[in-house]
Formats: sequence, structure tokens, C-alpha cells
Amino acid sequence: MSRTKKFMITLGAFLLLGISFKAMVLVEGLTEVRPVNAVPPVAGLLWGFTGAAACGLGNLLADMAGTFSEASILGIIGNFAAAWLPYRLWYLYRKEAPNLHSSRNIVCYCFVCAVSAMTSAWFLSIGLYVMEEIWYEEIYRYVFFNNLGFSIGLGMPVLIMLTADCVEISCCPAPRRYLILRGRAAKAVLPAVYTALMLVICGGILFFHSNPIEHLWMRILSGASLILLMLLSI
Amino acid sequence: MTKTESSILLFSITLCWSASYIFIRNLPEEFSSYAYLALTCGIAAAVMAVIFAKRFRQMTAGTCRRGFLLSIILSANLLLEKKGIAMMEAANASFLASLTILMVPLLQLFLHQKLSRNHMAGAGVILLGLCVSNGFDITGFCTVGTGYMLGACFCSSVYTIAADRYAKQDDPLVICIVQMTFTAVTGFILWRLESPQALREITFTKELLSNIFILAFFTKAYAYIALMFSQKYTDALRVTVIASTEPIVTLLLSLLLPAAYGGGGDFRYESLAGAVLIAAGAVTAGMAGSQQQMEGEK
Repeated sequence: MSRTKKFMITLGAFLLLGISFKAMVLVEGLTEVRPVNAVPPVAGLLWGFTGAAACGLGNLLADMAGTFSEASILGIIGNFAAAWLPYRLWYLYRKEAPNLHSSRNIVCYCFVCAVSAMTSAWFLSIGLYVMEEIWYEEIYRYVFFNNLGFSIGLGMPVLIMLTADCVEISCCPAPRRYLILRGRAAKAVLPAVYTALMLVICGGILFFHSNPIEHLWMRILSGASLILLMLLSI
Repeated sequence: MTKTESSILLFSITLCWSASYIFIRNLPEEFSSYAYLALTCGIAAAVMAVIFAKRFRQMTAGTCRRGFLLSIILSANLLLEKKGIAMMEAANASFLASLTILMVPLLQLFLHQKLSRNHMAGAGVILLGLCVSNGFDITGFCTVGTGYMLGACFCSSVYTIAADRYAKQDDPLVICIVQMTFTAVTGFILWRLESPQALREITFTKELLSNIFILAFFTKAYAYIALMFSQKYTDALRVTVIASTEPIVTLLLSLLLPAAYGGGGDFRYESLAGAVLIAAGAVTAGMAGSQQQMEGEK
């Protein structure tokens, strides 16, 4: 399958699902119930950069059907990361192409989806805080549960079908290079630190209602997370 | 596809069908059931045909025949169900529809297929769970609607067993597209017979289109593809066992979802007790596979 076709299929799926659910608004003008969040991890795992780019563009085009604003730029990056990060992380832990044939692979899939969901929620809510200087706790909560719930509840069965032996979909190969994550130590430590930072931020927001306006540590951890996210992505 | 994978697939279908009531109740009352059938299946067939166009190369006359047969059984099931639901309370109709858990093993025994003790015990516990969640109330069943619902249940069981056989013979994607196309055609013919003006009578608002697309995509395109795929790798009884966990998923959804999206339902202890029994039955029946696997390994 050519890259263009992969790109168009992902874009089509993203638009179809994204626009259909625009009616189920959760935060007016910002977010809604989004089964489309099942697409990025699957598209990223199967088609790498092509899938991730289609998700970013797809989110922008879907936003034009009702929620387009300056914040859409965050949506592009957030959705790109939600697809790109699972692809990068999967091959750090597994030596085979993405599939859910074993319990270990299922656990790995759930793990990369959880990290990706925390990343998207953190990036969008912190991004909105930086752009508009307003903190929306609901945005974090809705984006996180939308991403986690749909990427596992819907993305997992879709990935199972696409990797079944009678479908034979062609996955893109493992990332050609990890600029930073080369050595064993870097491969083990950096993702673990990043996951820990995301967990601390997630727990702080969900359980203690922490926010970057009142809590300095949220801003410091967010800065560190951004650097680590870039290191993991290249 | 492993056993765990097929179970995940089947459970996702149950999730889709449980969540579909949120969107079905958003459809206007005057929206005919035939229109629903024709439009959702038609859109699903079109979407699948575009995505999997290359698969049509594998289509044979046999696949067409089997797809047509499945669509007839499916249409009969949906139409009988519609008649039955109109004549009795939704909870009673839902209980009768769940009797597939009893009908599928009975039909399998009739077809001389072997059933494990775990399967039989699991089906029994699930049936008990359904009775508990219904409160053992039989007063609402003395209507003609019961006959229609039992007919629908029979069709559903035959569909599960036939789909199980056909999915193993043919490409699940192709047979699913053929089946959806024929079901859409049947729905459209019935819709035309019911109301000759058909399409012109509907005012397509943004919300209506959104609901139709969502239902077409999830309850038809996705659910039937997933069903055919999983049936290729699993057996009919396992499909029925996982489908019977629908009351658990419905209970969870009504507790988790906000009232605006169909949640906030009344919590009843009978529902919880029924859900626990259904889960226990599903686990008991699920152990059959691992037991057989262990015996095979020995």
C-alpha cells in the first residue's frame, strides 16, 4: 500500500469519525465525545509518520466543522503526538511489528496508549494555559479519558482486526534511528522518567486539582516533560 | 487471531450495541424502522465497499448466496423484533431477546455438535442471571409479542450458527459487505412499500445525519465486520456468551454516562445481582476453551 493511500485512509477515517461526533459537545468550542481518538495510536503504530501526519491534519480539518480556533494548532500537535509517541515507544519495548497476539503485547499496547493519552491531555491543557492564561481542568480530564478509553476500547479491537492473518496489512518498519535513545541506559531511563512525570502531573490534576497557576512544580515538571517529549520523538 | 483477541473483539461489539441506544433514542419518533435499516446498512455497505474494494476480487457466486441468506435471516430477526417490541414492555422484550444463550446450545445439540460441560453450566448461570435481573416477573409475557420475540430470538440464533459456518468458509469482509448490501436493499424495499414517498418525507437535520452516520459506522459496519472476523476464529456459543454480557455493559454505561447522553439511570439491586451472575456464567463458559486446550496439550 502506498504512503498516499495510507495517508488518505487515515485522514478519511479521522474526518468521518471526528465530524460525526461534533454534536456530542463536552466543553463548548473545545472538545466533545471523541471516538476518533481511537485512530491515532492505531494509525501511528501501523503507519508511523504517515499515520501521525494524517491524524494532525485530520484534526485540523475536523475542527473546521465547528470548533476551529487558535487552539486548533494545539490539536494538530496533540494528535500528531498521540500517534507518533506510541510508534516510538512500541519499538523500544517490542522487537516485532505491532500486534496483540500475546498478553505482553496487549500490556505494551495499553501502556503506550496510557502514556499517549496523558501526553495529549497534558499538552492541550498546558498549551491552552500558555496561550490564553486560563486553566481548564475539565479539558485535561475529558481529553485524558477520551484518549485512554477510546484508544483501548475501540483502538484495540481495530488493531486486532487489522493485524489478523487474513487482512495482512503492511506495517511500516521500526523507526530507522533514535538520536538520543541509542544506548541501553537511555532507552530504559528516559521513557521511564517521562512516564513518571506524566503520572505525577496526571495524579496531581485528577486527584488534587493541582494547576500551573498556583503550583510552581506543575510548571517545572511541564517544562521538563516538554524537553523529554522532544528527546523521545527524535 | 488468538482466543483473547477474539474475545476482545466480541466484547467491543457488545459495547457498541449497548451504547447504540443513546443514538437510537435521538432519532425522531416518526423515523421508520425500515428507514433505519435501509440507511444504516446502506451507508455501512458503501463505506466498507470503498475501503475494501480490492477484496471484491475474492467474491464468488457461493459468497453471494451465503451473504444473501445471512441478510434474509438478519432482516427477519430485525423485523420480528420490531413487531415484538411494539407489543410488549422493552425490559421483557430484551429478556426474550437474550434467550439466544439457551437457543444456540439447543440448536447446536440438534445439529449434533459437541458442547462442553463448562459451556452448558455457563449458559445456565447466564440464564439465571437474566431471570434475576428481570425479577422473575412473568406477568408481561402473555401477549402475541412473546411469539414474535421468540421468533426473533430463533432467527438470531440461526444467524449466529450460520455466520459461524460461513465466516470460516469465506472471506469475512466480503461476506459482511454482501450481507449489508442485501439487508439495505431489503430495508429499502420495505420502506418503499410502507411509504412510497420514502426519502422525501424525512427532514435531514445535522443531528439526524450525525446519529445515522454514528449508528451506521458502529452498530453496522464495525460491529458486523468484527463479528465476522471473530467468528472465523471462535465458535458460535462463545459469541453468544460474550453477547449475553450486554446487560452488564448497559448497567455500567447508565452509571458512567452523564444524563444528557443517556446515562443517569435508576440503580436496582436486581440488575446488579443479575450482572454478577451473568459475569460468573461468562467466566465459567470461557473456561471451556482453556480446559479443551489443556486436554489437547495432554
